[in-house]
Amino acid sequence: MQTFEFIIGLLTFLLIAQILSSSPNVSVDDSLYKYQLANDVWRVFYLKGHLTSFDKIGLNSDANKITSLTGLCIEFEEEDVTSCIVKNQLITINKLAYYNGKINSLTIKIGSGHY
Amino acid sequence: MTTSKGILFYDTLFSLIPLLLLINYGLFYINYSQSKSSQLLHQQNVFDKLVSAADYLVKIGLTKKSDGEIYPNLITGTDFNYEELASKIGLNHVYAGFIQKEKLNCIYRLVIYEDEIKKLYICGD
Repeated sequence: MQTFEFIIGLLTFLLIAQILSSSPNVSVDDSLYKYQLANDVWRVFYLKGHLTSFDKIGLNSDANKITSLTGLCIEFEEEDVTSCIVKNQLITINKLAYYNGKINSLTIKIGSGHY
Repeated sequence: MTTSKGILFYDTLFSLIPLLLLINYGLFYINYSQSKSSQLLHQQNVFDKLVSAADYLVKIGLTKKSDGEIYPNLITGTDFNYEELASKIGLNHVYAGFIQKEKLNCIYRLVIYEDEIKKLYICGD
């Protein structure tokens, strides 16, 4: 009888131990930092003068430079500006730029991917 | 009678073992969980302060200033009163430069320095 009770008790203990030990992994919230980094990319493009006339060659060159520095892929959805394809997206930002005589809405994806 | 009391004693004793193990594990887990939460809170706190310091340095602190205008992300150097900044935001140390410091928590921001795109590391603890 006591063996039976012992076994039940042990099984209960193991069951609860398993439940308690499967706690979710919690990491530091860096969402604001990602947003700031994405805006840095846009700001750097602006400071380099590529956005005045939307110089795709200059934008691609600097996007590649940023990728080689940081390992992050930069992709413009609406325009042909890509350093590498984003597979695991970190963040997407929307920006407006004036070129070709009108205001254009641009979506920039930043993340890790394949080079 | 003695025999049945003896049996009852050992029966109770062996039933208590898993219960005591359970209580012991429960207390251990609560202690571990609290310690981990406290550690994570500290990490988040330091990270948030670093992010704030980095944003200030990149937007105002280290930037080129000309004719009353400020040029965010366009920096002229890394000379700055980091001790004052650290004391104001509640960190022990703050450092900004193009080389990552070991043994400190670091983040980076993208800047233009001498017409080149560079990673500016902001480190602290």
